[in-house]
Amino acid sequence: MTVTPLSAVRRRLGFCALFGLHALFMAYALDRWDTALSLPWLQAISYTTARLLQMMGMTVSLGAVPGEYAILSMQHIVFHVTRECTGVYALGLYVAAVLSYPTILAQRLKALCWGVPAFFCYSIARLVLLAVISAVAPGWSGFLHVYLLVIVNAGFLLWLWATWVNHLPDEKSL
Amino acid sequence: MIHKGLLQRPGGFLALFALVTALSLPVWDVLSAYYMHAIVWLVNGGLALFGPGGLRLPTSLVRDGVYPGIAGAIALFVVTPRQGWRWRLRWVGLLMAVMFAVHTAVLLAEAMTAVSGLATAPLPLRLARTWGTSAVVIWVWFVAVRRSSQPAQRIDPVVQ
Repeated sequence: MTVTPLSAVRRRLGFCALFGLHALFMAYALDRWDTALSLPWLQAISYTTARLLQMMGMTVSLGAVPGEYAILSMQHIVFHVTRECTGVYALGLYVAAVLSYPTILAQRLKALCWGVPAFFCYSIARLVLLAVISAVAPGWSGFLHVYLLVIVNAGFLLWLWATWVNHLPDEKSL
Repeated sequence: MIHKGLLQRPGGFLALFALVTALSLPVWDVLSAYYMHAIVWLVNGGLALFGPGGLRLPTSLVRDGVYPGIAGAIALFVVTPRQGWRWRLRWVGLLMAVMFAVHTAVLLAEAMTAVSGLATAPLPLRLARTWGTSAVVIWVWFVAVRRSSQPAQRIDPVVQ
């Protein structure tokens, strides 16, 4: 790998310090440009989830509290889809982890090109699964809401990141 | 630096993480009331020192099922491959201490903000509330695996 002044600074700072800085930046950016970044993400996920559930035969109507959250109303349950439900914070941390890893720009872009759609599909799959389980076994919806929408995110982002890191070519061949 | 192959089988890691989290979440649901009790006690102490007199958090805050992210955080360290139990216990202990400090500070700051009558929470508090737990957990995990993946210092044999 060619050593540029920027890559030398990156190496000196180290992965963990860079990850902290990038995570701070991502948190700030998603808060500062909420209407341009987080909100369209939330709307796209809510819309696709609603369409998928309709295709599966469920009666779903999609509403929203503008600028706040989406509302998926089904016969058996009503979801308030907030930013946290869409995994946007976990996606921000994934981007921070990708930007912090010492590799070339093309590899980082590759990680974002398949990481962002993967997060999109993952977030929709979680909501669809939660809606289906709430219909089939309503007693589990409380547990699964916390489990699927809050906790598993960390595992998913590390899985995605580690898969990318493991597929990176050796440093000498870059 | 964090080397390639840290998680040689990412899929296995994710499956194990999901399983251990599912098992630990009900346990944490019960324990979290004690955790919250300690936080509320400390925040009330902070409010007595820095807030207006007589202000206390409602006891309804102490309930089961708060801060569920901690169950996932513990599971993350438990399922990290190629680490001994001493490493896991040490880092889970450290993480719990950090999370306890973060949650106490955020709750105290939220109470102070509510008392001060601000319409919206200041930016650092907003970010800590939404990103705090997950960002700190992942960062501490990266620090932990980086420290354990550093090559041991070579000690040359003493020539007699």
